[in-house]
Amino acid sequence: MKQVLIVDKDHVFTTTLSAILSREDYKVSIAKDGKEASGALASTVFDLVITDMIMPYANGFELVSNIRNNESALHIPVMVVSDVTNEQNIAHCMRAGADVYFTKPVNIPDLISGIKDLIRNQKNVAA
Amino acid sequence: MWLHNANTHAYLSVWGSFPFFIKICFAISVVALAGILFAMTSIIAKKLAKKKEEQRSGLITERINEMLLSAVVMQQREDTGIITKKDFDIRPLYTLGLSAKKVKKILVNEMLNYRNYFSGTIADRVRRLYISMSLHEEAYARLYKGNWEIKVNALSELYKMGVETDHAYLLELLNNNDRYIREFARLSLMKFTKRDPLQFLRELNEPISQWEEFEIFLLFQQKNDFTLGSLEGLISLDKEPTVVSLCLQLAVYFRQWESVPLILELIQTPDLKLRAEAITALGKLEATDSAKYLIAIYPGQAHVIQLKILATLGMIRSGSYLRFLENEFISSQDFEIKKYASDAIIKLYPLSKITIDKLMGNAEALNQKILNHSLNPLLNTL
Repeated sequence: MKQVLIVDKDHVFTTTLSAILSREDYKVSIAKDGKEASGALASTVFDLVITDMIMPYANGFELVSNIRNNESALHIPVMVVSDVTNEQNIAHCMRAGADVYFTKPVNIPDLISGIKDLIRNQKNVAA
Repeated sequence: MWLHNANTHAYLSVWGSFPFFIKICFAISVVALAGILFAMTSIIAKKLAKKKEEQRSGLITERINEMLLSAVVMQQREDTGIITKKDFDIRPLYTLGLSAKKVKKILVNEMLNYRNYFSGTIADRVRRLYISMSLHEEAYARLYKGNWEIKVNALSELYKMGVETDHAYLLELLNNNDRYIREFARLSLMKFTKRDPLQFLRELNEPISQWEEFEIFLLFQQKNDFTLGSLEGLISLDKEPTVVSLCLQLAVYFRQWESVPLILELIQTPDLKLRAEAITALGKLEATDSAKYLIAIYPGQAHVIQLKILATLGMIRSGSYLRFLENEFISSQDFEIKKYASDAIIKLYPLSKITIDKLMGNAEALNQKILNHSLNPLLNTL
């Protein structure tokens, strides 16, 4: 079972997405901010991280940079799902190492196919 | 009894012996102390009541989310019109200590959250549920109330839920004294009317707020099968600058190259902010033909505009004006000009490969540092 970490401060978003992904046979963990996410990443090996951009303590950009600078987490695909639509911020985030960027409101079938693609590609790279 | 009377007499005689101003001070102190005690008690009581209400609303929010999750998200049936008032009974929640009005308010807020985060089937199911529970009718009723805040909230709720409002009434609200009401009425009309949404911008004679600019932009982005019409008369020197700024963004987003001549004309505006935005729009549109004009006007421009021109030449990526950028980089004494010229040269890679190699080989220490800085993708300002 693939493990997914959802990092978002909003309860409605995390519980809904978690329920949808659980239905799709993913094991989901939730972190409220970048700091909690770093803790989870240190203790568990995830197959995917889905993160928001604007969060307390460490924002999405910092989290992506931390993942890409951490040798043990370097391979984990990162998907950003945020309501920040500013193209400079998106470019900044992609340059920091995010693999894909979705803007809220997000369409669930698109999101799920994005998740599947990312996990499949990661598996291919690892192989 | 005798003793009590004797004590009272003793107190009164002591009190009577005090000077008048002491008596006044004492009375004032007693009143102040009583006032403080009363205020403290009421503050504590209010805080406790608020905490209790927060706990109750937290519990109700949790229940509502569970209900929404099972009715809207986990619902496997494709038919989005299936959820009815019967399937989604919130009456048991009225017994949890909050009024029906407050419970409905929490429900609407959570529904709006769902629509903010999810599009497609989930958003559509939430909208259908909202309508089947007649919550839109309650919002309509609030729309006709006198208080501006109630009106704005009702307009906002209906707009975000994607529920149409009476057009005649919205047209009436376009002339309302309150700016927020006018903004929401305009947005609702743009969203639901079949009329060309640009027409509203043409008729607009007042500045639009950043928030409205953002919402209008989103609206255009999300309109299905929408083709942006001509922006003639909108990207114009005579038009309200905030409207022009929005139209520049629309031209870029919809890749409307027909607007390039209008944008070039706009560069004559005395408004530096708007001129800078126009130049940036040319860069984002990669309007190759405009590069020659930008270089021609470059010497007489303000510093901030010169920086925008340099950045735009990097975005246009024609490579025809590489020599101009190289000259600015080497000969200018201004650090920012050097930096922007260097960023533009790097942006023109691979067209600028020979120039970059040449500059890296011959440039003095400061110029080399600037070039290295520009070569770092995390630091490049363009």
